Amino acid sequence: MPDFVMGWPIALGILAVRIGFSALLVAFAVFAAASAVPVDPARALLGPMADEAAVAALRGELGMEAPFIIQFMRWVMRLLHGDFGYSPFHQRPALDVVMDLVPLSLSRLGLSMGLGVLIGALLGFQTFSARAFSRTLYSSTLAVPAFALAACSLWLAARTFGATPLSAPWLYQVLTIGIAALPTGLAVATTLSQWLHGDRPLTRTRQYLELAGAPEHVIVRNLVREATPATFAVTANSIVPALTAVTFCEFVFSLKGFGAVFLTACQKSDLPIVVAGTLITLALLIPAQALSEQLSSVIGRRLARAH
Amino acid sequence: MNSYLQSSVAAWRAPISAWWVLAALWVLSVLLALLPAPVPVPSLKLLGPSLIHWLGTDELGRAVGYMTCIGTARSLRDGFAIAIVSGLLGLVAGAVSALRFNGLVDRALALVGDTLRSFPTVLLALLFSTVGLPIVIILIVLLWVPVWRVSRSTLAFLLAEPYALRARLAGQPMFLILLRETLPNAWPAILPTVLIVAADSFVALVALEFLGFGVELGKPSLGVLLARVLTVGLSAPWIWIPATLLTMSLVGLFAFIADITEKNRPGGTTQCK
Repeated sequence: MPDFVMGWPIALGILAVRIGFSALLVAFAVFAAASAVPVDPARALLGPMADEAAVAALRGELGMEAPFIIQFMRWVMRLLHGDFGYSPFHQRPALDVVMDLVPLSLSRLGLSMGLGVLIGALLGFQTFSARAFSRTLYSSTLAVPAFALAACSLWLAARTFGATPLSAPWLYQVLTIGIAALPTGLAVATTLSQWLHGDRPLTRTRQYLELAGAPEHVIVRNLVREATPATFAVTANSIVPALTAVTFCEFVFSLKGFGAVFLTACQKSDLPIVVAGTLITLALLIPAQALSEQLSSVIGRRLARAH
Repeated sequence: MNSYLQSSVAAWRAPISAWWVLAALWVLSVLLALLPAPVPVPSLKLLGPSLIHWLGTDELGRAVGYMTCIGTARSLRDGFAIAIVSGLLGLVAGAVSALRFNGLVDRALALVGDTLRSFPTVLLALLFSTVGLPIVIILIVLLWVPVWRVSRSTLAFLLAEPYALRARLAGQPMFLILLRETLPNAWPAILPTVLIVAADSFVALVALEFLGFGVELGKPSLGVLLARVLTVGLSAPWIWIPATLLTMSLVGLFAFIADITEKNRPGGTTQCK
């Protein structure tokens, strides 16, 4: 049984604590920052001409007279009951708005990451067989921001095919998946090329195989087996840039999805949507990070054993 | 230690020129950012590239080349400043972690750092921008973590090296050992990370400007120019194409320099071959 399967109960416990702590930390930061804004919600609701007594009464009704920490606890309890507030722009509860769109964006994210792994594996092997391609180019391309790529793609697609996001949404869906596949693809390709070229510290097994004059395909098979946990780890890590890419592409291409709604909510200061979106993103990303760390620790142990 | 340091410098000779280029770029960006905002000339609205206006003019008749130049300079200036401050914060936190490796403070820093880095930088910065926090502060708070991670592991590793142990046996205080013995050897590992942080902060600044955050009215900005793709798109591509290409090239350049520096340092990825 692989090492990382054996410690699952403990790992799940740590993960649960970590998600809880992260959610609490982010929630606290958001609440503290929102409380620091010099705007009185009671005054904003009643208008500038409202009577001071009426404003004070509403403040009491909204629970704003309570100490900061009590207000925060009440807010957290509301969040735990699924009450993220009401979006004034969508005229619906924030959680409903976000949850309606998350599956759509997640499917784009999943497709893009699958495509990315495929492209990355092909590129990684090609690099290995060609032994010429520099991974510096991969890293440099990996750094290119998604919104700049989305802007270029929008222009190129409109100029080449005369297709706008409204007239040919499928083309922009494909572009979104393609752009979001880049981080995963390049990360997988870089990792594979590092392991296959032996940039990583050489393992004893590989040295034995080389000394024993093993055929190339046996060495490659061995190296691929060695590279698999690292490849899984970078794939799990690339969920962050891939999600950023999907979010920006949905916004730039005006596609229906979480990204467009989240970024528009940020622009319009629609805090309930922003908080709901952030906490749901957190619930998605922390397990991915934990998986990546677990796999990294497996790699560390294997390398330590090999040396 | 001295021979190790000498070999570090020798192996660094090639990429160090790239760092001079970056330093010059920063000084230039600071100076260019001081230039006044372009004046709108209504009679020159939406002119294509010509000999007089190399990159054309925008809807208000402002020279796109001049705006791109100042916008890039401002984003670069802020990006480098964020990288330096968050780099220093990360270094101090890394030194504390290395001195108290796996201690309470180290674990607390790890928990906070892991939480912050679990999010896409831009999305988390957006979250806090929405409630009105200054973007530069937000990015500094978010971007110290990569530097902390690298400096923590590098300094902790170097503190266990024979020369550091010898200094401890000689009775030198830990702070001095860290400063005199380990830090000079840790620079080659830490600096590429600072550069990656500079690239990250540059991208985050441009992305936030692209969405309309942190933009000062009338001041040219790379993100605002880039966002014109959503308004003028095909009709006036000369407005946003230079900004897009510059953003992509600069970030690619940062990553390239960080990569070659990392490759050429002693113990870097190519040294294991």
